[in-house]
Amino acid sequence: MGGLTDTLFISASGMKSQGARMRVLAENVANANSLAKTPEGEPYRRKIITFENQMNEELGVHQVKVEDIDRDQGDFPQKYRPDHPAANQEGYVKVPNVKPLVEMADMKEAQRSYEANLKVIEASRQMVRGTLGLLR
Amino acid sequence: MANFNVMDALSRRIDWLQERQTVLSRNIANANTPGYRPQDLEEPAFEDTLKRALKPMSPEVTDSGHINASVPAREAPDKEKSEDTYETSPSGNAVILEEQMVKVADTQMSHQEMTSLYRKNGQLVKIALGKGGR
Repeated sequence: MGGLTDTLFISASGMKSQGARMRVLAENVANANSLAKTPEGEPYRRKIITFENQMNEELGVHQVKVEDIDRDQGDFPQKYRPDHPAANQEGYVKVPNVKPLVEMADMKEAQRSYEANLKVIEASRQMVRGTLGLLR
Repeated sequence: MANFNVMDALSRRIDWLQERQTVLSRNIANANTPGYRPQDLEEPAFEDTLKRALKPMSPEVTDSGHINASVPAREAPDKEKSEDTYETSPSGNAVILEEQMVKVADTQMSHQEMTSLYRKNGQLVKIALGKGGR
């Protein structure tokens, strides 16, 4: 049964990574309107999560790990709001480089990957049940 | 006993399917890992298996002067191979979830088939022994 238990660990690591991804996405969406307080300050910079396939020495299987949570280096869009404390001389305020559409698409993908991992666990479980059923 | 040979073959197939399930789960878990290429197990070729089954004997080295002839090992076909897939995303990831899910379902079905065959075979043996099978 060694092989199938490994399967469960691998899928669980995949689900955990997708969970972490959802957390980062939620952070991005929640901060989509977090502006700076001063004209010199920066508004919220979008976060990007990356995964890697890593050997787990303890279990002897390759699992997915969160490699890094980086900041999106893209430029901040500007909005004309002359009365805002963070507005510059011309009256423009830097707004976060979060695009809700991109975040939503990313979220759908995370959800889909999570579901796929869940399905694999279900399939593996049924296979284990089948093997155990031989005893009956 | 012909029946036990069947059982042996079935259990080896079950082993193979479980191993494949592990490989597929790794693919799916890495569906968003940059640069990851999906893998799969090589389907064991019937001919090779048959050859091994027909010639299971291997020369014994009883003297240092004997030439050590090599005979293919019994369980060889567990080779992992990288696959050619339909598409690769800009991040270098080539896992297609749908394709992998189809493979998972296929593996699961074969596993179910094998386990029920195994059970049926067990019942046949029971009948032969005069117990259980009514």
